[in-house]
Parts: sequence; structure tokens; C-alpha cells
Amino acid sequence: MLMMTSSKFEVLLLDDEPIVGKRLRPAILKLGCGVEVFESPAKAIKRINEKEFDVVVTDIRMDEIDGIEVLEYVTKKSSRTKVIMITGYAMMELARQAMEKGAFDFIAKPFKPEDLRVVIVKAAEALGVKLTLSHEPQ
Amino acid sequence: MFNNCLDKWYKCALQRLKRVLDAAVERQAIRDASDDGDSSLRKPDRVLRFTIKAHVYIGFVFAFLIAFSIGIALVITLLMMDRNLEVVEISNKYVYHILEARSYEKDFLLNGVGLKDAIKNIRALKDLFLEHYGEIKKIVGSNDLLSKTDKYGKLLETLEDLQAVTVSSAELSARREKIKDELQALGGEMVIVAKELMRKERDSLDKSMLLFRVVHIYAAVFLILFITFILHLLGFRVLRTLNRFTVYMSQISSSRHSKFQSSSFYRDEFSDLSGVLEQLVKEYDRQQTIISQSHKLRAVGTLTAGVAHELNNPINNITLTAHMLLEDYLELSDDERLDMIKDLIDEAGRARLIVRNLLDFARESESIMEPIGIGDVLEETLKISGSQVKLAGVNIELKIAPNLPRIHGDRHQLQQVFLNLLLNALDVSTKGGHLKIEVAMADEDNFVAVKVTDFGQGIPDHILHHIFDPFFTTKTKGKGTGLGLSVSQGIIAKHGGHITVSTKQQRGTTFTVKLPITTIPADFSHSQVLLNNQ
Ligand SMILES: Nc1ncnc2c1ncn2[C@@H]1O[C@H](COP(=O)(O)OP(=O)(O)O)[C@@H](O)[C@H]1O
Ligand SMILES: [Mg+2]
Repeated sequence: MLMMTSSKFEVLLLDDEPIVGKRLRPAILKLGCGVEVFESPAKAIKRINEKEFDVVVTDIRMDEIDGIEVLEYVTKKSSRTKVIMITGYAMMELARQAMEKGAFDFIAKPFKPEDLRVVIVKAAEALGVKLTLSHEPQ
Repeated sequence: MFNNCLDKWYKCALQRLKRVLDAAVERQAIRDASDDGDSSLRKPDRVLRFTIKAHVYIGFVFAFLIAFSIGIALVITLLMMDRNLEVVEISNKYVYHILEARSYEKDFLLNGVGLKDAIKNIRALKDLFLEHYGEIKKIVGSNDLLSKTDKYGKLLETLEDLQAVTVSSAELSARREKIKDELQALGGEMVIVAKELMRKERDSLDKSMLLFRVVHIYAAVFLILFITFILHLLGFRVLRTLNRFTVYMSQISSSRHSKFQSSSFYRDEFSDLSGVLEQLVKEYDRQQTIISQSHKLRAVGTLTAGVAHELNNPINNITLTAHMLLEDYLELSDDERLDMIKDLIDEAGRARLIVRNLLDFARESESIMEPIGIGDVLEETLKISGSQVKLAGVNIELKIAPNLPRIHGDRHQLQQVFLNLLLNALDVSTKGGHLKIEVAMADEDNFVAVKVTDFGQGIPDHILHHIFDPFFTTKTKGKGTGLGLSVSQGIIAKHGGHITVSTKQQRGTTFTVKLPITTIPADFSHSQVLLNNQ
């Protein structure tokens, strides 16, 4: 299996809540990977078209295009990209649907930045990449 | 006019009666007070009780008394007439006897026979006289007739005696001639008196007959009038109260609760009935409130899923921000820290707002009627249900006509109505579908209309009759209570409006709520309300 350097490991984060992107970007950057943050699903899909990401983290419920559609699009575009779904309260049904459609994992709101990092690290491992935190949180 | 008069008279009489009875009650009360101390408890019950039963009895007794006195009057006049007839008969006999006696007297004078018969007649006359002395004396007024008869009889007897003496002499015949003359004069007088007597009696008989007839007619007319009057009073009272009941009932059925106006003068069976009714209405109102509240809580339950979902976002934002603040606290610049803290505060505020909207709605608030803008109510409703709408993925088009007049209503209750309609519409909408809410003046004068239109499957005919029935639902147990529309209808009726529905299968459904606009000047009443709320 091809080992990649961590700096080349690319993550796309899509959530229509601006604060999510704003706070998670530094948190994910600490894993030593590249992060692109989007609030609009349309723009995110456009970017996915241009570039292959290792991990896509997407909110499952957004106004214009929902997370399931993004998932379907990503799996169609690149089968090796791992998709992590962010779900809300009592959306087990949607989450199950997402898993069936090939999502790597899901994470329920509200979550801690560390929770997401753990899932991303797991996804990287599945891709054969070892990610470590640049410095441990207190 | 006549009715008015009667009514006034009746009321006046009632008032007088009331005063009399009040005085009696007061006396009773004073006596009670001296008996025991707690008579003050009985005080509020001071309104006079004048039952329909008593009314009927009193009317009946009066009618009976009047009929009775009329009967007595008739009997008296009848007796009078009877007596008159009798007297007429007597005077007839009297005249007959006199005339008979006189004709015998004439016979005797001409032919010398019949004196005995004349005497017999005069005797019979005397007997008659003695027998009916009282009556005859009353009519004739003196003993004149009796003495004349007596005298006549004596003359006849003397004549007979003279007849018996066979010896004739000049002196005797002269005496006989003299007696004959006297007899003739006296007889003539007697006939005149007797005829006079007969005439008088006829007159008086005629008079009493006329009196009898007049009394008869007047009595009949009066009795009829009186009974009509009594019946009219009773009927008037009953009908008027019934009419009041009808008005009251129609007010109840349109849910504009008012107090039953029973007569302030007295209490009767109707007051009892209205008391019971009032109790019933109160109980009904209470039940209605319970149903309405339970349905509201159910709606809150429905909303809660949406709200919980909606709450996730601010909570998630707070969690993320707080953790990053903790993680990077030392590396962050002051500006970054401040930005994060500001985010924390904002997101907490957002969460609070979501919860408060829901709690505002769920709160069991007493009904406050105030002038409100119907557009505002709908905007608030959409805010409450915002998360639910988002969850359903339905797009809502809200059109509010500008410069709509205010309506007089209860904000929370109206929110509940529109929420019910909205949730029903959401239930039949597909994901990505849309709904239309229009607020405008109604085609009816002085009404505003709110139209909630969905593009769902519509309502089949056999269901359409039932959708406003309490507990009618086509939804599964967890989802529908079947109370939404029935509660909404109750609330709208209370506001003097109505809900209608028009539906086309496979095309969609429109619920239209029409509410009367207020005539109270908005500024004034609004500031009043604000003052009250402070
Ligand atoms: N917009 C609508 N489209 C189709 N059917 C409706 C609509 N609104 C109400 N109904 C029908 O009326 C019934 C009664 O509604 P409601 O009184 O609100 O009770 P619930 O919503 O709890 O069932 C519903 O079960 C549904 O069958
Ligand atoms: Mg309903």
C-alpha cells in the first residue's frame, strides 16, 4: 500500500453552520493535513469535481442539497474518498441510510473537536495513512 | 299600544307585589336574625321568587273568582226576574178577578143575577191580596187598593142583604140605587188602579229582563277579556323568556359566551333552568379548555422533535467553540478569544430563543383578547414551527397583504390554530414540496382571511364531513390526535370567525380562516394592553 505524507492528506469540511467550519479548521489542521471548509454544498461539490480529497466531512441536513446527495456524488466521483457524515438528533434512520450508501462513519451533533479527529484518524488508517496530533490537547 | 299598556300595568303590579313581599321577607329576616346569628348567609338570596306555577295559580284563582261573581250576579238578576214574573202573574189575576167581579156586577145590575159570583170573585181577590200582601203593597205603595176592595166587597154584601129583603120600599130602592152608584164608581177606580199595577209590573219585568241581558253580555265579554289578559301575561312571560333562551343558546353555540339575562324582578323556574345551563356551559368551557390544552401539548410534542434537532446546531457550535477555546487557550490571541466568547454568547442566545418560542406556546396562558395584527401572528407561528418545517424540507411561501386592519383576538390561541393547519399541511406535503399561506382582506365585509394551501393528496369526500369532529384522525396513533381541527374550530368560533375547507383530490387542500376585524382604535387599545402587561 502506498504511504502518503501527512501533508498531502486533504480533508474537505462541509457544514452550513459557519461556526463549525471556523472552529474545526484549526482542530483538523493540528492533524497535519490540509483542510478546505465550505458552507455551501454547491460550492463544495464544485471543488470536489476539481480535486480529489481523502476525507469529506459533511453535515447530513442542509437547505439546498443534503448530505446524502453529497455522499452519493463523492462515492461516484472517487471510490477511495472516505465520507464522514455529521448527523443531528434522532436521525438514526438517515444515518443508517448513509452507511448503506457507503459512508465511512457518522458522528452525531453535538460533538467535540476531538471526536471528529478520532474519526478522521480512523479514516486515514483505512487509507493507510498515519495521522498524529502535532501536539496533545491538555 | 294595548300590549304596552298591559305590560306596564303588569310590571307595575309585579313591582308592587314585590315590594309587599319584600317587606314580608324583611320581617321574616328580622325574625330569623333574632332566631339565629347566621341569617346573613341567606342575604344574597333576596330576589323574590315568583314562579310560573304561582303565576298560573294566581291567574286561575282570579279567573275563578270573577267567574264566580259573574255567576252570582246572573243568579241574582234571574231571581229578580222570577219575582217580577210572579208579581205580574198576581197582578194579572187581580185584574182578572176585578174585571170578572165587575162584569157580574153589571149582569146583576141589568138582569138582577150574578151577585153571588161577583162576591165570590171579590173574596178570591181578597185572599189573593192577603196572600201576596207584601208584594202588592210594595208596588202600589199604600193600603188604598185593599181598603177599596174591602169597601167594594162590603157594598156587594150589603146589596145581597138588601136583595134578600123581599119587601120593597122607596127607601130601600133609593138605598140600592145609591149603593149601585157607589159600586160602579169604586169598581171603575179599582180597575184603573189594577191596570196601573199591571202596567208597572210589566215595566219592571221588562227592566229586569233588560238588566239580565246586559249583565249577561257584559259578564261574558269581561270574562273573555280577562282570561285573554291572563293568558297573554303568562304567554308573554313564557315566550319572552324562551326567546331570551334562544338568543342565549345561539350565543353559546357560536361560543360567544355571555351571561343569561333573566328577569331582575323575580326568580322563577326559568331562573333555575338558566342556573343549570350556566353551570353546564361553565363545565363545557372547562372541558374545552382541557381538550385544547391537551392538544396543544401534543402539538408541542410534535414540535419538540424539530426543536431538538434545531437545538443541536447552537449546542454543537457551543461545544466546538468551548473545546477549541480550552484546547488552544494559550496560543490564541486576545481577539480570537474574544471572538470565540462572543460566538458562545450568541449561540447560547440562539438556543434560548428556540426553547422560549416553544415554551411560550406550550404555556397554559389564560385567554387575553387584544387587538393584534394577524400577519404578526402568522410570522410568530412560522417561527415556532420553523425547525419542524425545515425538518420536513418544505418551502413556505408567506404572503401578507399590506395595511391589514387589526383583529381582536388571543394571540396564543390563534397561533395554535395556524400551527394546527400548518402541521396538517406539512403532514401531506412531500419533501421539497411547498405550501402557501396568504393573509388578506376577505371577500366578506369586515373580515380578514388567512388561507393555508397545501399541494397534498386532498381530502376524500367521505372523510371531509368528519375532519372537524373531535378525535377524528386518519393518522397513525403516535402522529395524530384528531383534535387539531376541532380545537381550532372552537377557537375561531370564539373569535366570531369561521373555518372553511376546499379540497381537490390529488391537487391539494386550502383551509380558510376568516376573522372579524376590530373596531376599537388600535393605538388606544394597544397602549392600554401594554400598560396592563407592564
Ligand atoms: N391539509 C390536509 N390535507 C388532507 N387531509 C387533511 C388536511 N388537514 C386535515 N386533514 C384530515 O383531517 C383529519 C383531522 O385533522 P386534525 O383534526 O388536525 O387531527 P390530526 O391532524 O391529529 O389527525 C386528519 O387526520 C386528516 O385526515
Ligand atoms: Mg392536525
